[in-house]
Amino acid sequence: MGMLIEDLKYAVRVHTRNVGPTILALLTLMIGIGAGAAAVSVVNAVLLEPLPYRDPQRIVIPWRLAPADANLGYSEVPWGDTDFLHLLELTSFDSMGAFKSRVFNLTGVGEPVKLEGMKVSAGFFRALGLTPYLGRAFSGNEDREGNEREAILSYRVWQERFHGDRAILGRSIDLNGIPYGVIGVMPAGFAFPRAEEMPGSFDFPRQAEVWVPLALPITDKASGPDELAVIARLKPAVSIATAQAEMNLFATRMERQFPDAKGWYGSRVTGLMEQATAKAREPLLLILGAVGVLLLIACANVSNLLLARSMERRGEFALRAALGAGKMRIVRQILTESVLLSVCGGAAGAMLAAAAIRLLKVLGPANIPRLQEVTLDWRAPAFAFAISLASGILFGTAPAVGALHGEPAKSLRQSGRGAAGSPVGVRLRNAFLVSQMALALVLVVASGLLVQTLLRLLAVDPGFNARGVLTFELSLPAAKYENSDRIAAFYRKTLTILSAIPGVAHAGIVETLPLDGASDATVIHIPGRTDLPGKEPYANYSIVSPDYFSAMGTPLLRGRGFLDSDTASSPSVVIVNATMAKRYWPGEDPMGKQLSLGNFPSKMTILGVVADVKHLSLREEAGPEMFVPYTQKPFPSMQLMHVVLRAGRGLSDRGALSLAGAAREAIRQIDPDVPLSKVTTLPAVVGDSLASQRFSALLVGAFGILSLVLASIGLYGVMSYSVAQRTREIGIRVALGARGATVFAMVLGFGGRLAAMGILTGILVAIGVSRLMAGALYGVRPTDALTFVAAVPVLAVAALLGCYGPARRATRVEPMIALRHE
Amino acid sequence: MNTAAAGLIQLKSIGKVFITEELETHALEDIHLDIRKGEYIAISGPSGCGKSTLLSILGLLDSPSQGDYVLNGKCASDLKAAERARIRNREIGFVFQAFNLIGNLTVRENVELPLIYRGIRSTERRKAAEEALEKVGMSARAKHYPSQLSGGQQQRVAVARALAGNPSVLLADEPTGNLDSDNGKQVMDLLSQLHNNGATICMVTHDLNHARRADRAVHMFDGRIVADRGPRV
Repeated sequence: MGMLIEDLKYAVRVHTRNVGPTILALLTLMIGIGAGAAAVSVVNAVLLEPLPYRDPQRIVIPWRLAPADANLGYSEVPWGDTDFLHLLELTSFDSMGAFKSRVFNLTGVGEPVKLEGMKVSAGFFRALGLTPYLGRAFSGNEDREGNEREAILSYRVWQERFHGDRAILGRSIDLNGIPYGVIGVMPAGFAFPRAEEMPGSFDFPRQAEVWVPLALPITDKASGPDELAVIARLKPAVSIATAQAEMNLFATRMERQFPDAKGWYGSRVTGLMEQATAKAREPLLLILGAVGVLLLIACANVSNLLLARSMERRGEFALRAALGAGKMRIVRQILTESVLLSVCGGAAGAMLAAAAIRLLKVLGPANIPRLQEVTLDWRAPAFAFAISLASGILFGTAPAVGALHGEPAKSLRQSGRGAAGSPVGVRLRNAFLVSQMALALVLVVASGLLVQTLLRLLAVDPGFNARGVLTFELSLPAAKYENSDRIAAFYRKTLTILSAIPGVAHAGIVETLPLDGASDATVIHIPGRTDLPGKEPYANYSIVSPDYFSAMGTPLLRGRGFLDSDTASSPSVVIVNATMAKRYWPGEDPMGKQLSLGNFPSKMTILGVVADVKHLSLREEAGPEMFVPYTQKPFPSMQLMHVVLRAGRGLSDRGALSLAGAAREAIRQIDPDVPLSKVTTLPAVVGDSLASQRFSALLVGAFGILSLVLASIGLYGVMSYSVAQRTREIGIRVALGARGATVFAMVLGFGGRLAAMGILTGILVAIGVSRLMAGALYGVRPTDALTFVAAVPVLAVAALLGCYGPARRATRVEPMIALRHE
Repeated sequence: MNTAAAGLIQLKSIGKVFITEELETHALEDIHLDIRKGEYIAISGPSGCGKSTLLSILGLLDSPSQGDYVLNGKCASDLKAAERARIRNREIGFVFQAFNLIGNLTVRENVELPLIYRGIRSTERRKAAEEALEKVGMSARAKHYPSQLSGGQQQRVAVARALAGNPSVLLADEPTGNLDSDNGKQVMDLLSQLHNNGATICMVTHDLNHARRADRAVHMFDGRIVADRGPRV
């Protein structure tokens, strides 16, 4: 114990005596371990941590897939009511539940509030294997039509609205003006489905707050639009492949029974874990890869610094050996020094990781699930610590062991010759440095490609002009707005009043806001066109108000927009987007053409063509889309609509946001029971759609900068060591007439050659590695020449910064040193 | 100033003081020394007497704390580093005790080094280096590396390097200090031969036998010149 304390004391003295390299090593360890630990903690929590359900590996989602040639812009489509009833007959599943989102207005408990909710069948909770925190889940009884007036609340709503009162069970609450009896409260943190984990084509909430029975009518005839998603629990010992095979047989059976829907019963059975992590996997693996590279650079850096220090101390080790110290005694001393350094670096790294995780929670995009639940996983810093310790021990002790081989006298003589450094040691250090530069270039290229992707996405025309537009959601209580005419009257009055607000240039409403989810899709019929069953033309459709396109700034390419005079008593009209016009009337003028919706016989006439609008992301290829005026075709689905208000000229986005107060007051005066929610600006909606790309670019960019810092530190270390080794040589050159500039250029040239080798190697590595991130890129090739070329001067500047100090130091070498005898 | 009358090198009342944290060390005091063109002068004295300090001032590797140093008619006491480097490169050839060849350069590259710093073109450099190596009898080893040569051979290469730039004066610091007696004698013979061919040589040595081979012997003690014997022109 006494010897260990002695070793520790000496280790502290060694590290503090030579404080520069110690600080560099600690900084390097802190960055490497900190970034590594933070990234591994996030990946572990988001991608690897089991879902909080019983046997989560048995939970699957059988998605219904649109035919490949439907070109909807997405592949997952909802099941119909009758489809679900047929799915319940499948034998692969223990339990199966259907669910769809619904918005509820909770009234009678303080201010009316809009709650994101779900209508779920009784099998929903059974499939998840989850029981409520309080009360019970739905039984088969509530699943029957007429018995559906019961609700289960989220923990948050129970706490915030009912103050955690356990007497909530059995109490009646008003949802959309209809009384529901509360039968349960879900556990804190329960959130299924989460919008960020589900396909964008389903408009699921980020956090459901209330669940009510779905209560499907038991009939073989479709009772409404297809809206259902399905979750199921596999029977024990049944694999996903087996379930998929049964789903395929189901498709064949259904197509035989419903030949008109041929091609629309395809499916994909997806494990819930895979589904929950699918969207986050690519950006997180990208970030994990970047952190891995950063950790490698950090290890190379620490190895280099310790190798240099150990080589400098070869004389000391030889002297100790000459004085009788055993090899193990010396090795133990060096191990103590390495462990001390790694422990301090590890502790600093763990603190950095904890801070980084806190920062990630603030800056991270909402579409990375469970990000808010991430905590520092002790295994992550332990892993990074072990790697850095291993490299420290290896490269800290190897030169010492080398010095202890052979006769002490020889080692002493060698060490006294200024430690020109063993050629192996020098080559190893240079190799580390070249690797560092190469890896840093890979990260710089990766961040360059992601930044370019972000810039190109920002430059994409979304089909509307977001600047100066305020948007919010209106949710009409179903009990009060039970018929379409009443709904239409509400919006007519609302739009009239909103348009009159000072500063509002245009006011419009739309069912599905661009970049906020997919609009509904439907089969259309085009007179004169015969299509095989299952091959009928398809289009997304949306209900809008006459002034909607002006409010959005969506260009009208042909014809005219809707007018208030387009009413139920006038001829039915429709506006199509450019893609729909081109796809279904190629080479023809679509103006005046007719079409009809699904099973509705009435024909609508095309009176205008508007630009394509992005719905799910800026990356998407627009699908066919059409718009109908609410004045002509009000639907009950209009209970939930988005309002868009374009601010007048001179009003910025902030100015647009300032319209919210007046809008809220106007709605309150029209109907105080109508809550106004999701108040934001359109640029914020566009920004949200890019949150994931921005997050990836930000993090990988940060890692790129850190890698440059580390590479610069590494080069500084190598060059400082090299200058120290070559002090005598430099002195001789100066004595022979070399000027300061010549010496400066010589040192810079040496560093430059190493950096150039690193850059060349890095380019080759980056060409290979960047292909792996092709999926994360948009509008830029993985081998984009501009990015690669631009990365070179960035690395060169980092190299210059690393070389500058040692090169300046070299110019200060006194020629007198040439006269000193060794 | 009349160069011919004043000589190649003139030191007037040169002093050098090293100041450390608590100590002021007078390495040189009131040194007066004239060296004429073609002279072969040996500076000797016990360890710490200041002979190497004197040589470093003569070679413009260091500046005097006081006094004047005139080299080739130009005052060289208070020059800036770049100008000192330029004069060192053109006027002075160094032969060091430890040879000071650069290990990763070949013999010829080592000899060319001062010419590179002078900005001479490679063909001329090569020619000058070959001539210098010829003078010291090392032409055959031009492509060797220093580590492949004996100590005596390395010192001959160092002499060739000092000669290559055709300097005004050759400064030799204990040129045989790292050599055995045979190799030491060969190097001393070489210096004598160069002197006979007209070279001006200033050699620091503690070996009185070697000092006697010079035609003028300066003896130092405690930072002062205590004896200056030999033919004066």
